Amino acid sequence: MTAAGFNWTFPIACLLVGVTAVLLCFGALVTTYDAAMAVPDWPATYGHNMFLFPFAEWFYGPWDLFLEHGHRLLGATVGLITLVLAAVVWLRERNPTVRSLVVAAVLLVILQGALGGARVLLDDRTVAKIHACTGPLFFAVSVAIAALTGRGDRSPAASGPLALRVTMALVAAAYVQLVAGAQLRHLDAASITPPMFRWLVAFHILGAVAVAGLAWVAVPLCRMQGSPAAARWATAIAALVGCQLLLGLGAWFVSWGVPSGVLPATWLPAEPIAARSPRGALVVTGHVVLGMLILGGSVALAIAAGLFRGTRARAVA
Amino acid sequence: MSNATPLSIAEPTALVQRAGAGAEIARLRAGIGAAVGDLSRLTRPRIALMVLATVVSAFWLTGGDRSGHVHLLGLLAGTAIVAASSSIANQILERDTDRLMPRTSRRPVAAGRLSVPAGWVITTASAVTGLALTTLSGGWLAATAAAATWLLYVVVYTPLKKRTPLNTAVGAVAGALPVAIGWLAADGPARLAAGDAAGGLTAAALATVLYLWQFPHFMAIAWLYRSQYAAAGLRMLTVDDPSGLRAAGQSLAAALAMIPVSLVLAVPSGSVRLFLAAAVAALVYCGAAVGFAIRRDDTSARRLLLVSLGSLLALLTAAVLFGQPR
Repeated sequence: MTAAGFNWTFPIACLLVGVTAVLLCFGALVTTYDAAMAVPDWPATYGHNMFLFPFAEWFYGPWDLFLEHGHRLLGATVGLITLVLAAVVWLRERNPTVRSLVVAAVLLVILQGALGGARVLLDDRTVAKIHACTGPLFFAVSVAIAALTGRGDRSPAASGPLALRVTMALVAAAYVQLVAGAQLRHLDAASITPPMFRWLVAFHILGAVAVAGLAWVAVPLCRMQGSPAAARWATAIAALVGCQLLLGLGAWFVSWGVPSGVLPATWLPAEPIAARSPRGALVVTGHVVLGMLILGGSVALAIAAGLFRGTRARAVA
Repeated sequence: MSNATPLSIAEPTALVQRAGAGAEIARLRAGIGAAVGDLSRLTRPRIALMVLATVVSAFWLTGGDRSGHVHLLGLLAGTAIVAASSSIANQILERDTDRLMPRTSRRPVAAGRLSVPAGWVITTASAVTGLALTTLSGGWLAATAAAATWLLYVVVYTPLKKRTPLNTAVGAVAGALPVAIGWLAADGPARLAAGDAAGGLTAAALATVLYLWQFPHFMAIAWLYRSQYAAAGLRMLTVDDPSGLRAAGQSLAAALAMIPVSLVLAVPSGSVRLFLAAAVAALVYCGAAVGFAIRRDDTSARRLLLVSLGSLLALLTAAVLFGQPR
């Protein structure tokens, strides 16, 4: 809660969510085009201070350099916004939950920057996977801060315990799906065996079923037991999950092809679509970005359904 | 029946003697039991065991020489003795507050079964022995880390408990420092200088995991025993803020940050199994921290405490099983 005057926390938190979403899109494209090593040094960019790298060389340069350097600049911007948000929250916000989430956001953004650097310096795929898991986590935390600060002094109406549990399970399942997806996106032939790969794919498919089930069950539950805001969020997420399943099929199609015998030969394109072609990249990257949006939406839904409900009132009391 | 008379005289005597011996044995057993109980309360073996698990994990994950079992056993014995010494010193310094809390009032120094001078003699002797053993088996750098842990725990953390709720943030450093013992004993700095950055990164990650892990763990304990801490005048966060919001918030922030840090443990091995095990352990821990943040009651605190132990055990076990460096 702000002590007095305009509530600066909410717009800054929304700005953080927006810039982070763009950053995640760049990050997903970096992985799709395998552009992480396009700039081989860190924190410098080809010997230049990152912020002083010639604009023309970046903007009109090779695509992978554009992606990687743009990813770094956006990352630095997100770090800066996070620090500003932390300062504003620390000075003006009394809700301990928001203050704690901002501390978590600062820790995560510092860690994410260090992981990004380690990924380049060590040229290590495991670090890349961790970097891919930390980004959505940071996004989820920033969405939580925005959702908690946006409601002012109002707490959402109490949802039924089942609705709250389902929405929290949805958050967990959506994040686990991103962790499993990161494994599949950063495959390392040296450390994964064919049976383990099959297990990972099966786990990811089962996870998709779980997320879809939870998202679709959340709609009637939130309509019956939750606030109108929770019902709206649940409906939007259910629709996004439907799109995500289609994109998942598409990502499989462009990454590994269609298993023989599943579709009639006449349905298949004459030329296989490569993951790095514009169409393929759109599908694969869209699948990752939509997964992150589902995670962020699930966090907003859980808060609308009553997660951390009452912490503001008690903090003021 | 000629020996009926002697028997009638001797039998009660034998019975009395047997009864006396039985009572003596029972007293002896009770005495041994009490001594073992006191030794256990004094040295807190469960905490020492956790410290040892940390040292082994750090040694293993950062590529220590696994063929030298004797060397590792010596290091573990030395570290365990230093940990026991710090525990005894802590109980001497906290004897007045320990007497005020039912949870700690039976500790030997607080209950008066061990005098303060005798306690200091045992503390000094065990610290010197433990540090000497650590130096011989792990080198002087590892022994320096052990000494730093002892000093931080006894000289800084223990007095801070009466002064500020920030004591957990300081005490958690002492809890994370045993990683340095394992890393230094495994020639970590030399490997780092030779260009093996993964070992250093892993040691830093493991130390950070242990640092962050302690916040939810100790906040749960501070919540469960908040009335005892308040009665003893100890400044735990749950005493300063009885609503539990600040304790729950710190738990949540630390548990969230712990997720990516625990994944870094999979870097040296590149193991997918360790990666997924770390993700599951950290997520379950985070879930328990969220549960505590929502409910802030004894049930959720107890669950968080149990999950904290289980998740750390799972994480360290997975690290030792799957985390062998490539």
